[in-house]
Amino acid sequence: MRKIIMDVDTGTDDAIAIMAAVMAPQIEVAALCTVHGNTSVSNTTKNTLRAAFAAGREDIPVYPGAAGPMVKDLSEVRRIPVPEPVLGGTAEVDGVTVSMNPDLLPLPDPSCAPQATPAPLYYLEFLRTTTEKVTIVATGALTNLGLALSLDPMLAEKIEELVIMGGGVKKSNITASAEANFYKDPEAAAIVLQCGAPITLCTLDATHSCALTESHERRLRAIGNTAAVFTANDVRARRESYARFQPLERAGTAPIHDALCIAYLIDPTVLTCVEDAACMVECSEGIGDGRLQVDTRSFHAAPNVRLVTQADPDKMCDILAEVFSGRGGVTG
Amino acid sequence: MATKVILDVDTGSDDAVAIMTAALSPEIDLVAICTTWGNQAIEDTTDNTLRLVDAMGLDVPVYQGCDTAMVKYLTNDYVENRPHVPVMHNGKPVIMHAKHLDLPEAVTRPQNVPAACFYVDYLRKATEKITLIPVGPLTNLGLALRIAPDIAEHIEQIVVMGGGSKITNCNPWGESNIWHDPEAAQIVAECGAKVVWVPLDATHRACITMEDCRRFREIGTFCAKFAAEQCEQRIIVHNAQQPLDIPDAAAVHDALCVAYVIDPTVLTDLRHCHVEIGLAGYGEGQTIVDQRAYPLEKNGYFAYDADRFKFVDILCSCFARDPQKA
Repeated sequence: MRKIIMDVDTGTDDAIAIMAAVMAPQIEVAALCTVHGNTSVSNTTKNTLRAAFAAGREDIPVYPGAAGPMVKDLSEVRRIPVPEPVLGGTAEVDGVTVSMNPDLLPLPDPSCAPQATPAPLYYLEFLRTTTEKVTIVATGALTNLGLALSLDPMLAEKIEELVIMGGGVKKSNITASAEANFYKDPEAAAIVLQCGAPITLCTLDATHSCALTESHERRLRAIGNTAAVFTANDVRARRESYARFQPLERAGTAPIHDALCIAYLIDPTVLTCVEDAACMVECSEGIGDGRLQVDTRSFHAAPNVRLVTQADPDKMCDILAEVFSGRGGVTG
Repeated sequence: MATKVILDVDTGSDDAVAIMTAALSPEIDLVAICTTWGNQAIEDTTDNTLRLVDAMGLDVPVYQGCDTAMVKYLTNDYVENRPHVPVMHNGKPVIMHAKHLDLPEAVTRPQNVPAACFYVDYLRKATEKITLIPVGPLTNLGLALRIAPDIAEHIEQIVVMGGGSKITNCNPWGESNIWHDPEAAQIVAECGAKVVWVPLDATHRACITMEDCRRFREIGTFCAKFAAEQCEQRIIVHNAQQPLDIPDAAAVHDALCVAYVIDPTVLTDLRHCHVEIGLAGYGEGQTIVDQRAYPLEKNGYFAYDADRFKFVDILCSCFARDPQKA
């Protein structure tokens, strides 16, 4: 059983990752930390409570995290324009307007409330006192971890593995050069990438390569429970949304970015291209702000990241289907 | 009733004078001391703070803070601060901030909680507003305000030693405390609490002379003598490297912030204005006061002058309260 802390900006794909993690028998979710990103931290916190509740686990503590980046918003020219560039927008499906990232998820509210401790202070307390190392899965802006590691860089030694959805090698989304999670707090991403803990970085290249299809959508919908139907609905909304706003190489497919991190923890063979790489994140006022920089020289710096650029969509669907149907998530 | 104060120091010769003044003043209830990097590495500034706390027999918790800036070190054009250059005096090298204060080794250890966490925990629980006096790089407060922006509501005022409008020191446009962590300083500038900037413009005016040092020594207490030693050492370095308008004098920057909390009239030209910190390029670490007739929103108070005679009187009356004889 793998103990993990998730750091999320829920977000539909974060919600799918949460539901898969709490339903997977191989994973024990110790806590959910929230952060700004897909929407405000107050919304991502509400959505995180909803996602855990939908999967029957409202007992997992939710720690609200940072409302904005560590420092990026201090610089007028680096501030993220409002409204920010459309990444999902809304699309009409069968006469119904669907959005791949609504402010509030269409799921019931639990009665429980978030914890009073801010997420970075939770990390500090938990990691300082834990006797076993813990895996952290971060699928939003990396502000909470950036702040926690700034409080005490030694926390990195308590991290078994950091599984991150962020950055892109040949792909970007929010700007011409950057992926959204890194772009929203480049300094935090830079601090995290150089923290010394083992890092598995699921890039946009990887999440796009394992985008789910219409037949995957049908298979998930047929499972029929809340998590599976929620996922199927999101695959549908994303298929439409991506077709209009971010056309992919495989037409009509939907990347469920954050869920890849959890699929990997359940079955690492879902990742089909992983290589050690020396990575940094650009922090600047220019076009490269938030860009993942991979040292491509033959005499590159010491690798600090396992860089993931490809994953298997059928296996991704298999893993989610197995977990959601309660069959233990064991895949062939 | 005494004002509850948290000091945030990179001890440091003038930090030491500030700590002694705050600890001895009947107007101040010193609830904690946070340490930060800056004048020396964090291990040394914490050690120096603890040495002084032990030497004075203070019962004040010390929280160790950050060892570098929030983010400044991440960029590949980061330039390390230049080391303190010693001045030869009577055949011995003298620097502005000795690595170790000339005091017995500390027995007391710092608390186990990082300074930034202490700010969040303490301020969130505080039933009255607290005055903060940060006199080093603002990293601890910058982090605390980003972890829990709501703590600003529990702050009476932040009296910062830092910045300079017409005077700079660590490079052509920057004052050391601000230049070390510009982002943290900017977070403080716009945090919403009342911020009083005590920049070089004011601290150079509130200089301490050799004559003042003789007055300290005549008081005859441990703190008065130790303060005299710190100031004399600073005068030697000032004379050689940063001569002031008045000869044989030194700025004792950090103590002026404490004196202001004891008696606000020690700052004589305190202007309500818009202050912000340069974050990039040649303006990095610069304290920018909007001088225009149509300035941006006024977000702080910036001191341009100070009364050096009143300053010395305040210090003398505090040092005289020290029960320990020299």
